[in-house]
Amino acid sequence: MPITRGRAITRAKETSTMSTLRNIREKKGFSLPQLAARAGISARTLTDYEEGRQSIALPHAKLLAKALWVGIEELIPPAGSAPPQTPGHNPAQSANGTQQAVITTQPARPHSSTAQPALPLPETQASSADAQPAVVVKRPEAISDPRGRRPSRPEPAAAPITEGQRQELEHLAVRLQINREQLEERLGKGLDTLKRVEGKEWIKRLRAMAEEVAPNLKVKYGQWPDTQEDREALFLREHQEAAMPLTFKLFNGEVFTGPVVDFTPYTITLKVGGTDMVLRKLAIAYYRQADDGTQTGTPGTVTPEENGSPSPRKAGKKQQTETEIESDHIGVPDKPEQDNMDEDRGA
Amino acid sequence: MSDYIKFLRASRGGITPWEISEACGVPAGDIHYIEVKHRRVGGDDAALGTLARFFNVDVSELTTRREAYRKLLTMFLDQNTNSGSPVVFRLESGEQIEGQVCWYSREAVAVAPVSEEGGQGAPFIVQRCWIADWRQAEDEDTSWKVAAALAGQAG
Repeated sequence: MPITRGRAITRAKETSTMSTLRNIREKKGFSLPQLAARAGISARTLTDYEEGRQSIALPHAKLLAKALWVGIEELIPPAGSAPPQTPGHNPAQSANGTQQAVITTQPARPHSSTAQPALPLPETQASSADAQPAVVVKRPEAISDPRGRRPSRPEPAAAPITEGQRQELEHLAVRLQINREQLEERLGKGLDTLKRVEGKEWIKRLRAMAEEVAPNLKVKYGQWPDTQEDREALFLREHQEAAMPLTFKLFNGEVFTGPVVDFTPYTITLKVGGTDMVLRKLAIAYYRQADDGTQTGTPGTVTPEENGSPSPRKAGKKQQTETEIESDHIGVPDKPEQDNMDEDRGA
Repeated sequence: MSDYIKFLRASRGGITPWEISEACGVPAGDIHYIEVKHRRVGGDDAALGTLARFFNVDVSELTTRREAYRKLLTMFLDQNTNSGSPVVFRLESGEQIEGQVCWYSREAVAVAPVSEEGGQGAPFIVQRCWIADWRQAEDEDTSWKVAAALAGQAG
């Protein structure tokens, strides 16, 4: 009877799949209520799945796969194929020395490179009249193994180089004063064909080389100024100690001149007309030593109309500065500048 | 764009990314991400549009700054500091500063104008956040790096 046989096969397949769910759950060390809570599925439904009273719905299969850290194909094998082996399952060995046999029709998973090849079934199982499409024989110790295996992920070594890595390699090439062709020659392959792990290694090596050839003046933001070699901090300290006046031009066109009294990573304090004036660095466009008539060179003041290049930013910003923004300076007569990073965060 | 977002926040009384997120829906993490990353970020045009509406600026104010990311400028500065070639910086205000790069740090660049006699004047310490575009002085006036990158995107 074809229909009966078909139903029997289907039911056998469902039972096999459901027992797989129980196998996996027990292997992961979850009780039924625990798995129900993790997956957001009622315990009654889970029981129905495990006992074969109903097939696992696809949405539930996804939730269960996520909760159990297995691939969805392990819960719902593709039609016509066997339920896949549980990850980490070594079919060729067992604790008591007896061989466990597995037949699977699925291709090997990428992460299971250490899996042993399938061995033929023992005669007793193979002689069964209504042989099931596949059998997963559970090792005794597999039940008690609480360790979970995460679903497979693409091997990091195979992932291509990231855009950030590529830019860093190009930057290092500039520091080493080599062009792209020379860099690729050194790498032994094209920049686009590098893998992520290779990129990481080469970045380490090239950084070490670059430090020897052209030491980089690393800026550690917020560490100021004695602890590291920030050039701007050195410049400001020199002028502060020499009491040389500096001319500051703000973004809104205001100009202030005076010697530097104090500075932080976020502000510069000047003495202007006997008053301490704190300028936020975010508001400063540029500054230089105050003009004593001997300096050469002034910034070219080029209006957008003169050079013909459109500058929509200037127009937008000018309107904004006139209507919304006050000059970003605060008079602090007595107290020295207190560096508060929260100020910059707007707290 | 990172510095411009900081500037816009400061111009709104120092509003925090969390307050912006509550007001317009752009996640605070995304705003913070744009501000701190040195590479090209801000690929989500919809989010930029929302931020532009919140700050009451044209969306082009943000998208045109997307190509002026920190790492690109750092590479340019590194290249020209070693070579000593004169460069030109165009500031947000439209001013242009030409000279040789003496040094650069995370927040500032020292540009020393070169006199006709070949000597260097007192350097301008330009805040990087106000540099809108840059090119080498020997290149044509149309060879601005950021403008070229924007033209390449549009093309």
